[in-house]
Amino acid sequence: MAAKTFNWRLVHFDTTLRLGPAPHNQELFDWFVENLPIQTFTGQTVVGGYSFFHLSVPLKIPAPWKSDKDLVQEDISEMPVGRLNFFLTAGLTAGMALKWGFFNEPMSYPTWAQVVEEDIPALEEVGKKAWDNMMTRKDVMLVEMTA
Amino acid sequence: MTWRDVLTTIQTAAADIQKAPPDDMLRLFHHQVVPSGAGNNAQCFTTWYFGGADIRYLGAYTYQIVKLAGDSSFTVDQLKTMFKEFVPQPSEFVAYCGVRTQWEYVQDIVRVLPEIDDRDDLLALLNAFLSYAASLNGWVYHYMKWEISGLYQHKMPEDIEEMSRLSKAS
Repeated sequence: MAAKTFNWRLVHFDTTLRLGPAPHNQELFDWFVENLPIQTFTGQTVVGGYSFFHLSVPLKIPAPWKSDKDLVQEDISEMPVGRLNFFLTAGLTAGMALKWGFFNEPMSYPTWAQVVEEDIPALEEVGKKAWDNMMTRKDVMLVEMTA
Repeated sequence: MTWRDVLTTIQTAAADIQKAPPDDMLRLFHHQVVPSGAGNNAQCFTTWYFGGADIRYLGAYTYQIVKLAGDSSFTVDQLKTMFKEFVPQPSEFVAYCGVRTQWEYVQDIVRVLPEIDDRDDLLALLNAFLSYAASLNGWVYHYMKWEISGLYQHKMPEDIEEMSRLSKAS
């Protein structure tokens, strides 16, 4: 049975968030957890709104779906803060966005995980720190995801 | 080099740039050094803009081909043709802009494609390049000088009304 949550840690700011499955696409959560541990780096989205943007998440097990249309999708402007979606994910590389603030981009993406309620304030705080870093120092933001 | 040599080279490089940016990226986007001189009037803003956009296409095109490789109605030869048609043009331009290593990899891939008949072998090679290209795109997101965006705020309707009023004032 897959884990109920996994950890997402932004190393530079020593912040760890817990993510559980979204109410749908739960098979994607279970599949992703089988790929852990994962280390990648993150940027930020800069047009549609505020999210951590992991564009090259390395996978051990290929993405199991053929088309995003086969999955439940949510409008990113309406989904809750803390939601994790997939973006341009195929083969052994995933793209993911972790929403931490306001979005007005009216487009839909498959969603599959959610930061637990108690960790949302920490997500919003570290999101702002990471944004400020991107706009100033540009220290590399490594992320570790573990079961 | 055989196709397996090319695969190993790209896989190694892709793993390396998961942890730290490649020199190509630091040179152009962080330190504004452009060996080719790309960028009219010796500036690199346009080089970032168009080079960065084409880096995005490298990943996006390769992603689409990897996705279509999961559809058995596309043959191995068709998938190889897609890579040869979609990827080299933006790759060569990105090299001119200063991110050169990926162009070496693309040329190596094109050179060894005739050796590959098996779908899984082709997918291994495409997956390696997808990882590398997607990471390059990620480093563009990190190092692009987004801070200058503060100079270009949206104009709202009330701003435009005020501009119109001021443009008519004697």
